[in-house]
Amino acid sequence: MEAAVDTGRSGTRGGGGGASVTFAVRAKEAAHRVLGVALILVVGANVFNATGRYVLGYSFTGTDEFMVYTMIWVVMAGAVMSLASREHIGINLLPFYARGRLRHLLHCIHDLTALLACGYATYASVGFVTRIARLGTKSMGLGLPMTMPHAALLAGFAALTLVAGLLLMRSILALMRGEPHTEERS
Amino acid sequence: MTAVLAIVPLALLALGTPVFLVFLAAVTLTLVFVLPIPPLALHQVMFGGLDHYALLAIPFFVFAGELMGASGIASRLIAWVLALVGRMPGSLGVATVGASTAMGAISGSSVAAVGALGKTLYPRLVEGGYGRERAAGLIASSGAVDIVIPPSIAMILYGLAAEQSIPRLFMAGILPGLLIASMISVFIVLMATVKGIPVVGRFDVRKALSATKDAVAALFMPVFVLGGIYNGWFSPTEAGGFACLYAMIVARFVYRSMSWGDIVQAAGNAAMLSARIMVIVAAASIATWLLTTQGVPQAIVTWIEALDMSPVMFLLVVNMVLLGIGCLLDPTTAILVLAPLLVPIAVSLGVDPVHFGIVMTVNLAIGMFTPPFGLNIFVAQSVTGLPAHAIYRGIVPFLAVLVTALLIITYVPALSLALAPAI
Repeated sequence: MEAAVDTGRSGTRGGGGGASVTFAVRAKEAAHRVLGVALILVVGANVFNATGRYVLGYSFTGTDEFMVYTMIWVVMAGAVMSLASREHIGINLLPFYARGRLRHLLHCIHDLTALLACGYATYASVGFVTRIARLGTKSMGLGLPMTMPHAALLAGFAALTLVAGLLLMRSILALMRGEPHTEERS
Repeated sequence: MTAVLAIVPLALLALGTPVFLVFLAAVTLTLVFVLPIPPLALHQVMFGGLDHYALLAIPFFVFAGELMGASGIASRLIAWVLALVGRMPGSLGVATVGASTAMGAISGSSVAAVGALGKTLYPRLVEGGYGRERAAGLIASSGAVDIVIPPSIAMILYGLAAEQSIPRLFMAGILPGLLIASMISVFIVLMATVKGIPVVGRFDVRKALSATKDAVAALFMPVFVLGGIYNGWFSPTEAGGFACLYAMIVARFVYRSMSWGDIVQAAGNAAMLSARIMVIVAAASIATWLLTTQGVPQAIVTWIEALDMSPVMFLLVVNMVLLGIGCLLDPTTAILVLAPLLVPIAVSLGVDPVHFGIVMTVNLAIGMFTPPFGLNIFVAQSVTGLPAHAIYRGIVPFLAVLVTALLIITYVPALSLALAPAI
C-alpha cells in the first residue's frame, strides 16, 4: 500500500555549504541505518517471542511492549526524516507539475502548516508527558516509566516543528529571491 | 467556522500537503477554535493510535517486500511464471498478471510489483507486439491484484479501523484476488487473439522445472505465511515477522544476493516507508476520534437509514463514491477516514463487515491505477518513460475489466466469505 509521494530533495546552490551538505548526507545515511537496525531488532523480538510461545510454551513478558514502543520511536524519527526530505505521502499532482515560484509557494504552505500543526502537537505532548512524569506511571510488562514511549511523540513533534521552521525559512528566502527550484521530481 | 473546518483540509490536500499534516491541521483548528477539549487528548489519542501490536504487521510486510525486491526473489518469480505459460496467445501478458499475483502474495506492495514488472517485462511486452500503451496499461493495472491478495496492508488498516479480524480479511481476499487475476488474464488472451498479437516462446519442460527449482524458496514464502495464519499457527503480525526472517535467510544464504549491509539498507527503507504510513494512522486516529465523539458516524447512519436504502443500492453508491475517491486519495488515507464512517452503515444494512472490507479494498485497488492520481500510473510512467496521457489510454480497457470484477465481488458476498469463516 503506497501513495503519491512528493520526493523532491533539497538541492544545493553552488559554492559554500559543501561540508555541511556532506555532513547532512552522512547523518541521514547513519539515521537510515539506525532505523533499519531498530526494525530488524523488532523483527527478531517478534520471532523470538512467537517461537518461545509456540515451541517452548513460554511467553517472554514485555516483548510486545518493547516492539511497539521501539516502533513508535522509529515512526516519529522516520516522520522527521521524511519531512526534511519532503517524502511524506500526499496528493502530489500540483507539486509535481508546479515550477519555479509556484513550487516554492506550495512548499511555503506545506512548511507553514507543518510548523503550526506540529507546534501545537508539541505543546499538547509537553502537557501530557509532564503529567504522566508527575504521576510516575509505569508500563505493565517491562515496568518502564511511561514517559519513555510517550517522549517519542514529544521529541518527534518538537523535531518536526524545528525542521518545518528551517524548511519554511529556506522556502521563503527562495521565493523572495525568485530562485529556480533545485529539486528533483518524483 | 464549520465551513472553514471542511474547506481547509480539502484545500491543503489539493495543494499537496502531506496527509498526516492535513489531519493534524484540521484537528488543531478544531481544538483551538471549536471544541472545548483539552489539548492533552491530541497526544493521548495519537499515542493510542500507534500503541497497537497488530500495527507491527505493516513494517514487517513492507520489510518482507523490500527484501523480495532487493534479493532477486521478484525476478525469479517472473522467470518462473514466464516458463510456465509457454506457447499460448497473450502468454507474456498472462505471465505479467501471474507474476504480479505471486508478488502480491509475498508483500502486498502494489508499487513494488509495478516497478519490478515494469523494468523486466515492459520491454518484452513491447517487443512481443503488445504496443507501448497497452503494455504500460497492463503493467499499471496488474499491480491492483497485489493489494487484494493477502497479505495486504490495506486490509490490516481496515481491520484496525473497523475493528475486524485481520486473518478473516486476509482469507476473504484470496478468491476476489484470484478472480481479478483470472479476469485480466482471460481479457489478455481474448485481446491477443483478436488483435493478432504474435505468440512467442514455447513451453519447455526442462526450462519450467529449472525455473521452478530456482523459485521454490520464493514460492514457499506465501505458502508458509498464509498457511500459518490459516491454520492458526501464528497471528498476522507474527506471520509478518517470520516472513521477514524467511526472506532474510533466503536472500543471504539461499540466493546469496544480499550482504548484511544490504539487508540493513532494505530494513531502513522499510522503516521509512512504514513511518510515512503509520504517522498517518496516528494523525487519522485523532481525527476519527473527534468525529466519533461528536456523533458524526451515528448521524450518517441515521441519515442513510432515513433514505431507506437497500443494501444493493447502498453498495452501488459506495462503489461509485469509492471509485471517485480512489482516483484522488491513497488507500491508507481513504481507509482510515472512510472505514469508521461507512462500516456502521454497512452493518446496519446487514452487509458483512469483512465482505465490505474486501469491497473497499478492491475499489481502492482500482484507484491505484485510475487517472489522474493513481500512483501506479506515476510508477509506470517512470519505468516506461511514456507520457501520462499515453498510459491513460492503455489503462482504459483494464479499468473496464476491473470494474466488472468489482461488481461481481460486491454482489456475490460468498466469494469473499467462502474462506473467511474457516478461521
